[in-house]
Amino acid sequence: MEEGELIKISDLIKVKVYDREGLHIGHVQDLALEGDLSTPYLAYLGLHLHWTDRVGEFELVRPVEDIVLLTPWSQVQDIDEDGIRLNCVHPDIPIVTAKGKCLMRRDVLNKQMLDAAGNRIQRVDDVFIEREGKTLKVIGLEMGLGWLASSSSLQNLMEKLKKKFGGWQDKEMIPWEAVLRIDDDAVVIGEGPE
Amino acid sequence: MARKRRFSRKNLIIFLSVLGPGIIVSMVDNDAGGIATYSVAGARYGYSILWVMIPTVLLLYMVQEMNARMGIVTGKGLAALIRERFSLRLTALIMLAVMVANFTNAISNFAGVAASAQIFGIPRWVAVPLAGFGVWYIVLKGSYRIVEKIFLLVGGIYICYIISAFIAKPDWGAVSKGLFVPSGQLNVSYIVMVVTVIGTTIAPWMQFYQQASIVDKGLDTESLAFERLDTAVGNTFLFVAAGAIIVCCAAAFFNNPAVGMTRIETAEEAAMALAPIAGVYASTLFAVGLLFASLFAASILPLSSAYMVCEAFGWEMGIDRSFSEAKNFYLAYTIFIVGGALIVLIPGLPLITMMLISQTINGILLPVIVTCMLLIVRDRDIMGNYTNSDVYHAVAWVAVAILYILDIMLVVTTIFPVGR
Repeated sequence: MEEGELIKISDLIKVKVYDREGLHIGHVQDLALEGDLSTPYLAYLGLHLHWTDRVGEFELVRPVEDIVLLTPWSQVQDIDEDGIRLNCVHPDIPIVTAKGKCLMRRDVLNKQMLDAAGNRIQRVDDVFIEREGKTLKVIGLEMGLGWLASSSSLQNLMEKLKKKFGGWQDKEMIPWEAVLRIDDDAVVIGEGPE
Repeated sequence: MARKRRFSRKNLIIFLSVLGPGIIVSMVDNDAGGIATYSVAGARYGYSILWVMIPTVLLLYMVQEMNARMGIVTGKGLAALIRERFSLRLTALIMLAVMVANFTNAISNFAGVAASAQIFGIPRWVAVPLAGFGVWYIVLKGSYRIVEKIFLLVGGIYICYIISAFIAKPDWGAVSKGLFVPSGQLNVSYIVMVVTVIGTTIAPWMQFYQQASIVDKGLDTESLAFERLDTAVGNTFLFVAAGAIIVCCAAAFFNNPAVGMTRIETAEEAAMALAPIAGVYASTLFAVGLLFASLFAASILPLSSAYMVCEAFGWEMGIDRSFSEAKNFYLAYTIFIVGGALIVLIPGLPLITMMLISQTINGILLPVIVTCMLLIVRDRDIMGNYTNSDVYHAVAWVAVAILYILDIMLVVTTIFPVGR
């Protein structure tokens, strides 16, 4: 996983997660942005823990298995092909609420893309991210083969997006800047305000 | 009292507005392939195979009820839910298999149009293009409400089979016994027949179509009870029509000593063979039923396929959209109709083999799709408070397990057709 290399979100799902002491504690379930989409940098890791007997500061009555928690990205110490290492020790893993967060797998991957007028474009085939040091930045949405069968209105939209977001050349990808908002069941794409 | 009467009238109005998806999908289920299967079942095994229809239709109701619930609660079609819940790869694989099965089904229905038209002296090169253009035009130019009303009206033609069954003068006591007393034969060909009847009655395209049309209709949770009723009415109609075909052929061929071992392989063979035995009216009604059933299915199957592919890939869809708005939707629909019709016009094509292949693919796919449905319908993130209850879910899993076993038997006996 080189600096600047494009990675797909689906390739990171199920990647193993280790704690500071090297204990395999679970796998990646999701990756999240701030809900207001103010920054394209992933701010949270959705962690599927094999088990835990503590959630945040709360001791549980008995250990639970297969629990998914959201931990701040600041807890990530290192990422490579073998897995993600945290800088905390299981089960003392800081957690944050999932409320109001934009989870890439839950809310974006495979969801319907709509234009600003509500017309269906196609589904999100994948999400491209790029490594910048210890952080991961969302770059765009993969269009896949759907682009080949797209309507003329979509082609017009893509041309407009291309003009507006200069430097973006890959027509199989919609730049993240073109995402206006994430609705309950759809990703809304458009040129945005002039 | 007055208040109660107003409430009932309101319910009736809601029911009539909800009415459609469940009934249409059940009626289309009796397509050319279905009529052929039920005809052959009745001719070969008589009334003794009737009881199979009861558990089959009950299972069909369970599956379709889940479809109705998923469509109403999520506002999404089955293909969309499969895509969102599972991976793109699995979705693409399922879509490909369903598309292949649907395309061969569409071909068999155009073959049904050709065969039944020939019984009335209309050459296939006239009947098939006319039928193809007719169903294509109705869907392209009509709104959903109009198309649904036409479909419901045409669906009434299945009464032909009920009348045919009465004309064939069956022994109603033996019919009752065959229906309510399970009896089987321990031979491969009987088991294959049972599997084929189940596979024909519960076809995967039905799940996609019903859920998509519920979404298209914009039904909400208040309509759920009425949609269940719509499904139950449709399933009852399917049960009666399929049962009538079996009874008609059982009375005319199996239980008729003068006929002996009449080999019936297709629905049109059954229609023609009925004339000297049960009379020309029974034969004509049977052929009319086959013609309309084939026409009906030839329009619904491509429609179901177009909905499915657009949902899975997120393209604009719906018959209330214009061609320019939903280009891919109409393109898929047109390819299915034109392709299906053209293939039927190729002389010497092994249509029965193609129909059997499509039924086999359907049979293999069904438990896979029902498994996906059971995982989705139990997911509280998706279904909220409308998940399956524990008992309902357990019963559904048992049914799926039986389907898997039957599937394995179907595949094995299709590859090694011992005793067929």
